[in-house]
Amino acid sequence: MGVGQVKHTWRTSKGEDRYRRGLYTFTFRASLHPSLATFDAPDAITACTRRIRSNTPLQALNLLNDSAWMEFSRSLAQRVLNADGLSDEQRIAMAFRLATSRQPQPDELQLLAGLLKQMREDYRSDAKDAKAVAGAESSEGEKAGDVAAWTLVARAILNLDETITRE
Amino acid sequence: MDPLLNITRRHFFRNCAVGVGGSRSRRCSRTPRSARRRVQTVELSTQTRGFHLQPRAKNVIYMFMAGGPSQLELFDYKPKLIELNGKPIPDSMIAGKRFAFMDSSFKDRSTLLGTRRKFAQYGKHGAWVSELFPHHAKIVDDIAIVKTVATDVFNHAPAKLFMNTGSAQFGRPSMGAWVTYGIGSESQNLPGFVVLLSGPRGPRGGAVNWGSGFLPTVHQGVPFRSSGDPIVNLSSPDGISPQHQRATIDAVNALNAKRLAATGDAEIQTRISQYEMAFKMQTSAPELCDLTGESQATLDLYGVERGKPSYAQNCLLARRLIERGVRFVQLYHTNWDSHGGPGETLEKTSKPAARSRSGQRRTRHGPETTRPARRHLVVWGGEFGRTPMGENRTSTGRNHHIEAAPCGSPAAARNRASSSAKRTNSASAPSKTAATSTTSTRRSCTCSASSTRS
Repeated sequence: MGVGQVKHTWRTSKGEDRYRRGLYTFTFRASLHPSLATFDAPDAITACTRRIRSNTPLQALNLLNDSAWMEFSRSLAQRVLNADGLSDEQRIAMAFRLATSRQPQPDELQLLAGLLKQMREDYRSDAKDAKAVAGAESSEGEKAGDVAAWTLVARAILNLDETITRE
Repeated sequence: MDPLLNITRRHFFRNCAVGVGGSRSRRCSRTPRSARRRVQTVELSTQTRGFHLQPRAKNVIYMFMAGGPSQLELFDYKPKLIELNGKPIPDSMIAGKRFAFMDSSFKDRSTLLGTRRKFAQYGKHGAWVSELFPHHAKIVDDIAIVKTVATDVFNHAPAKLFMNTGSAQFGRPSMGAWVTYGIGSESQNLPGFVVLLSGPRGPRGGAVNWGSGFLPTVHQGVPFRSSGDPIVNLSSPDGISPQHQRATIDAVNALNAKRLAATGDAEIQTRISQYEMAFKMQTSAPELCDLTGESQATLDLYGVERGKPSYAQNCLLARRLIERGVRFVQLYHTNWDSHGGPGETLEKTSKPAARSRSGQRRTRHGPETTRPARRHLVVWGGEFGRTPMGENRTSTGRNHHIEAAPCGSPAAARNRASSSAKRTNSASAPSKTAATSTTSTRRSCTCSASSTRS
């Protein structure tokens, strides 16, 4: 095997590089980033005129459980929580619109509000789990429970087919 | 909202033309009942209508030796070629034929190369097997060695695609996708078509080799990783309990179902099934990959070293997958591309393959699983064979050869075929078979050989 065909190890970047868009990341033709491999990105050695359709449970696991996606969810939660003077419904609608570019239908809003309520009850009563989800820098107590509940709602929104699929 | 606003142009036209979006999306849903019904339908129809060949196999394990294993170093003994070693290749053998890397093959008019491996005959049928596969001596009567498989394509990626989909251009469904589309899978907790990877890199062509083409993507192969954990992100993030995960997936699926109703996009149905499958796999996959319950004797049989991902481990995983009802398991093992370049040694590649293959079969007959082997079809092969001429790189190897392709060896066919060059339609069917055994004898006087230094 020639040069460039060997396996390369991916390390998480530190500092501000960590938050650079993936577009600016160096790629290695024989070692796709694990997330790209999970999404069946084409082998960079062969010409690809068109991506194949791909839809696997591993992709669902990636979007649900990957630490990067958890961080995205937490940030989206923080962003809607930081907006002043909004009701829960308005915050859900804001997150939904940021992800899908449209307002949620009333039944969609209701579904997500239900999830929020359930998660808020759970996380307000379980400080340890709440802290694990909300992140170390979030404050203690009820606030952490809130951030955790919103993180799960944001995570659901980021996992929607409509969010991750561009037609 | 106006329903038309939710329909994309693509789906609008598709629904106009066929109008079957709804029925198709029901079809690819993965409920236990529908899967069972489909299996029953297939069994029923074979009894009532009667195929000329009674299907027996319930699962397929397809070991794809990526790179093109040399038939002349493994199963295809050619004494004449040894005799002609070092002679120039006659024009009659190469006239009008095309080979990959014309330069390296013809720069200094490559000469014939007899095998440097020791061969001996084994079993009732006296099948020739080389020293590279010592464990096969004991099981050779149980495998059918097909020496007549040929292909159309001599470069790795398109040749792999051709073997898997019947076309050298991508866009068509792979064999595993067709099988699970046709008869479903008995496993509700694991994907119906699983791909296991091993070796220094993934197979050329990548994901298209196990793609679903124009079939619903729920039938595509699900690749497990070749290093580290076979599946990443299996556990939920810290602080998220199974109940939280369940509630999240319920919400996501409910919202996706609304989107499906609004747009009629069948891919959303797949998405919903895959989120269900993901949830189930969070429990089923750790159990699948946990080899602590396997005895040391079994691990030795396969050549598995605990905690070390390998082809051997994938063979054992393949067995565990079909035991759990997975319909189609495909293993890719690199690198069989023995040109003679650095690191391209047959010894290195064939060693794990040798042991694991015999382990695979013997374990299935062992006390732990008493199911007869005929329920599982095991296929072994690559994308093409190697030339009778030597190719000089760092050491002498062999070039790609499309006329002597993979030595497919379906174990379940053992009652029908002996191990000689019978004219057989290999189970790896998209490739055509060559006309007669004489051609195959003549053509496969190749040999490769690996480098002397590894």
